[in-house]
Amino acid sequence: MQTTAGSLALLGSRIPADAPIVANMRAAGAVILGKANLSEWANFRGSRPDGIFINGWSARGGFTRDPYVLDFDPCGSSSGSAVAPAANLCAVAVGTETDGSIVCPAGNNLVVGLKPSLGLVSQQGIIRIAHSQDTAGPMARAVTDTAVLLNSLVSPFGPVAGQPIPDYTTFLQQGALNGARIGSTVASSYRNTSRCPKLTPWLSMQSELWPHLEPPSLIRWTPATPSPSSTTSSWSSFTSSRGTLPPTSRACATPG
Amino acid sequence: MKTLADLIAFNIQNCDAEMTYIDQSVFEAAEATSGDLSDPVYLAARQLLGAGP
Repeated sequence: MQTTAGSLALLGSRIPADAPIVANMRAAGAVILGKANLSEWANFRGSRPDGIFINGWSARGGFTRDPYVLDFDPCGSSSGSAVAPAANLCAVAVGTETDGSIVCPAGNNLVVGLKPSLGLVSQQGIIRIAHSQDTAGPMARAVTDTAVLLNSLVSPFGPVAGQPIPDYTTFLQQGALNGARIGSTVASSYRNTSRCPKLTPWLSMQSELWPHLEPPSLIRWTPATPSPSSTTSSWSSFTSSRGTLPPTSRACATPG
Repeated sequence: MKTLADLIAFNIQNCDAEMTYIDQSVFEAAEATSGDLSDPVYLAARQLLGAGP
């Protein structure tokens, strides 16, 4: 199988050996069924002409579809690694994350995703954006499967190397979420159904799947006084700073 | 394919397959940086995002 980040530029590239995490998984009895699609180059290549970054498309794999709501954003960049277990194409999948690339597609495709602490899981054999942030992590339909896969992914390096690593399945606790109160920020446009009507069936599906939990839309958490140092403020600064990126040259307009 | 510049050139040469939906503005912005992890511009950006050292 080829490691291409979804780009045709790396098509045909030959890898010298399994990545350590793949070797670990095979040693634990896993059968590797295939590679999943992703946002090409983990969505660090570019955007649409209007500046919007799209999720789950690569030139090699095309568009990834959320199996529950086909025209809903599957999020990314590990889009296919969320969709594959969600659609029951496999029991577990491995995603990689710099910032949200496991947990966001996991949320949008209704599977469990976990970004391990940096250093718990080897980065070798993985195309990274930032060695200071990137890590592979487990994605699955069940928390138990996620813990089992995490156990076999463990391959510590850096500050984690040499530290005792627990068996993560020992932390599983039946009914741990019973009676849990789930907070949801009203500021997030992703959860504002008036701006995204397609989220309404998605939210109601959540409440069907987990009827013992209060639907996120019923509990709202809002900072009493937005402070200049709040996350929202930082995010606004970030997004506005992204707006100052130099205008791209549309390559298709380039002769030759 | 050894460098970011190689990838940028590849995408231009294969724009019908690669550039239909998205451009490569992030690649181009990255290529325009010094690539030096001690660059004050890079360090300031990390600080803005609240990233650790």
